[in-house]
Amino acid sequence: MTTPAFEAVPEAPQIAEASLAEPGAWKRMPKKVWVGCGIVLLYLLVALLAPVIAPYDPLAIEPANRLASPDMAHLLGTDELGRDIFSRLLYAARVDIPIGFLGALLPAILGTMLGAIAGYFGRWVDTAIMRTADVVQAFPAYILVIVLVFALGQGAGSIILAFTVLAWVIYARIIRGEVLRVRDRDYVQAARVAGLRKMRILRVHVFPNVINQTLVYLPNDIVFATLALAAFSFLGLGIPPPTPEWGAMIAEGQPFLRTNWWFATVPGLVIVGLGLGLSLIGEGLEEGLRA
Amino acid sequence: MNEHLLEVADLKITLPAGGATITPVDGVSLSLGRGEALGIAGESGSGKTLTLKSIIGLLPPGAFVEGDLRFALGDQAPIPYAATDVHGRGISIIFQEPMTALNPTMRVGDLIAEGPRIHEGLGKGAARERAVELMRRVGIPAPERRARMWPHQLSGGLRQRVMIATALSTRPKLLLCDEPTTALDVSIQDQILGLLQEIRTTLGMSIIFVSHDLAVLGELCERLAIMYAGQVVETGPTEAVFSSPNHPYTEALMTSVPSFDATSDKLAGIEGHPPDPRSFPPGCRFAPRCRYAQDDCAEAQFRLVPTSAERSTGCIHTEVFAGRER
Amino acid sequence: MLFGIVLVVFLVLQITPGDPARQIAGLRASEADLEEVRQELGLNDPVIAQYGRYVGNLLQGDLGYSYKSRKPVADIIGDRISVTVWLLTTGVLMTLLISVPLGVVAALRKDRVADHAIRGFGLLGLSMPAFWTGVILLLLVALPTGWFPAGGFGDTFGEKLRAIFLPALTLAIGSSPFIIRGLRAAMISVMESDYISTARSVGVAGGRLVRRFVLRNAAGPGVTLLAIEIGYLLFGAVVIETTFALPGVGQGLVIAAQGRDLPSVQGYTLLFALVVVAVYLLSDVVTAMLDPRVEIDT
Repeated sequence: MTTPAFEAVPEAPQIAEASLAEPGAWKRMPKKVWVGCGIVLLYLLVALLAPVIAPYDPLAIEPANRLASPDMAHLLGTDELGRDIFSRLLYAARVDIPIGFLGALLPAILGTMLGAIAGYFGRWVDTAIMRTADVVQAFPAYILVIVLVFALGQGAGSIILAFTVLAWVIYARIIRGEVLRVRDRDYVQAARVAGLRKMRILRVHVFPNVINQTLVYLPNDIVFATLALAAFSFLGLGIPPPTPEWGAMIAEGQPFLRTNWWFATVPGLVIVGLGLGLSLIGEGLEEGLRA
Repeated sequence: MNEHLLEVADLKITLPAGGATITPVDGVSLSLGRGEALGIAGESGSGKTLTLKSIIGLLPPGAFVEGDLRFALGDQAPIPYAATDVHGRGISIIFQEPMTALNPTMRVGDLIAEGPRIHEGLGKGAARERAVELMRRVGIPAPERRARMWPHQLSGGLRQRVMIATALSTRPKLLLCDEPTTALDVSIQDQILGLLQEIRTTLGMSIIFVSHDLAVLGELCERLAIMYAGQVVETGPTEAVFSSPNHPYTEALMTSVPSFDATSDKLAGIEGHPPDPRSFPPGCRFAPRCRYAQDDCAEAQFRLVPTSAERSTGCIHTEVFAGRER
Repeated sequence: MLFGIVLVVFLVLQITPGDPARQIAGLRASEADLEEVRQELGLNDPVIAQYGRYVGNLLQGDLGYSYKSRKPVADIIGDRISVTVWLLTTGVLMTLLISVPLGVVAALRKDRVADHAIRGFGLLGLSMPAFWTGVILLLLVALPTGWFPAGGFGDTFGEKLRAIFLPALTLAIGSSPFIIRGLRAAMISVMESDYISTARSVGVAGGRLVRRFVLRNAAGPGVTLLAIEIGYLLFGAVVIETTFALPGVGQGLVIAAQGRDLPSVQGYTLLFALVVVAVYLLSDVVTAMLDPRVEIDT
């Protein structure tokens, strides 16, 4: 009754009432979901076909033709070492997109599983998992990623591992709450009476109900992971050169802002486009599932 | 001076509900004289609270109101008005939940003082004095001290008194009461009802009191309007309605009075549930639950028909009540 | 909690590959020299003993010595911290300046054009990497006008303000979408509550209603949200200081990490963790001040 208003954090996870498994659920999705899907699909296609589309080898150095302006041969000019910027942008999609997706997907999977287990089994299992979550959450996450990558060494593996170790917590919390809500509903009770084993109950009855929650958060987390990867590479702590990566390309272009403004700005636009597409999906899913 | 204070004609409220629209209030007509107390009775979902809120213009966003609402701000006949015309200037409202109706981040004295500060241009000090005076008027002990307290520091009864003081602070002609005693303990309920009765007679205010509790309405109101599924199904003087109901729903409400469960807001005496506003039954909306229902009940167009100078009913088979004077 | 953080940071950095002694003594150092450095730093002691000594030194304000400059880490941080404090305070002020009016407008005009526009810009803002926003501001504002330095900090108050303006704006652009979104949601839920109806029924309207009733009650969630944002703000400081060549602790962390300067990385990380813990505590106190229902229990 006298609960302070702020205990309900305004952006508290909205309970998705509708299920994607329901017939017609996809038809009720707002248009922005499809726009977002279109954008993301385009990016995936580019990543897949980069070797076919790209006019040059992204690593081929051409010292005689460094910092060239855009022309028909080099659509976006060349960088400090004479490498074709357009080709590097295309190839970078093969780095940023998989790491961004994995960096969000792995924590989502881990968090969903741990949350479901904590919620379903309760008692000491719950306590152990949620205490760990408390400790992880007390840290400023991105700073800890820097430390982890510092300790583990640069590279895609370290970054994905660092994301996974840190980002599972939110999923675990949401899913645990959902499981607790679903657990005591009639049909789960009925299943227990029927003698189904606990893991099977989790898989058949609880999981489909909570998977929506994960889906709503996933697109936004992919955005965060992609932005973070770009940021770490920009700082020189992410993907080491010469591998093309969008954030690192912005850093490479910044000294030449005065003369070759497109060098540092276009990779950013590419990131914004992907982020926008994913955000549209996330927001649309949230609206569609809540209605 | 014109005798009428408020006139509501053919009020219809539509609300968006998950893609579709519903009409939880469908063709309600009411009138209220100066100094009169009208009771509106009905189960939850009957549209009684929405009717009340539409009178003071506090409907949720998205609500669409049709019909004619008139109120007499001065001594003349009632005229059409906008919500902002009557806010703080003629109509006040008291809500059901004294827990949530008071701003949690404002000292209660300051809350009561808001109206006088805005409408009478009182300074901080003068408005504070007025607030204390009003608090004393509604029977709050040690008002000087309590004026500086936060809502959460007061008991439910005191909070409802603060709510009443807030409502009175703008000297209204009409006080709307939305089940103001339902959330309170029984002993406190009687005190608040007594206070409302006393205020009404000394200040000469009109009251519309909404409740599902006929006993409460009987204590306070001269006239009753019974609502079911968004329509007024019977009106008349309280005593006449009590002694000889002219609608089966009124009768059912009355027989269920003793076993009325205030917390669940459900009628013990009647089978079934109130209809879903997304699909009201055709004809008489009470027919599916009515023990006197006949075949033509589902066909006849609903109409509130006068049976005497002061009474009307929506039932087309009033003959079943003939000669059953109690 | 703080000791838990110290322990985790210490342990994580224990697994760091590379020989600190080699780093300090240089590539040409002999094995004997290396052994001497190890003795000096106590690297041959058991991990527990090293940890005990580390915590002991910490309590006396000793964060160890940088492998690179050989200066005390505490001094290095001390030299850099004022820039970051400038950046964060200006950035938070600008965030509030941007997000409070926009959040209020979006909530009041819910589902109308203004609301949709603000939410659209929010999505865009969320998708923009902070360092890129900084680069764009440099390109579109700093270079053409010449009003703002492209990097570095100043000495006088005016110079500092000028140097910090664009970085703080970058920080604000990145963090505002969260705050706008949260404030909008908080205001909408407040506006649906009964006490707003009460206020309107006695004639409170317009700015008075928003200030005295709506914002006053939405402020608590707003502060909590801002506190939750501190993690992002700190990382934003790291990225933005690097973009604008500001000599703050964020840039310091990046330089230390690039140079594999373990004691410095350790020191900076602890500092950031300390700030987060302090901000959470502070936000509890502030929300308690804003909400009379909450008593501060310590």
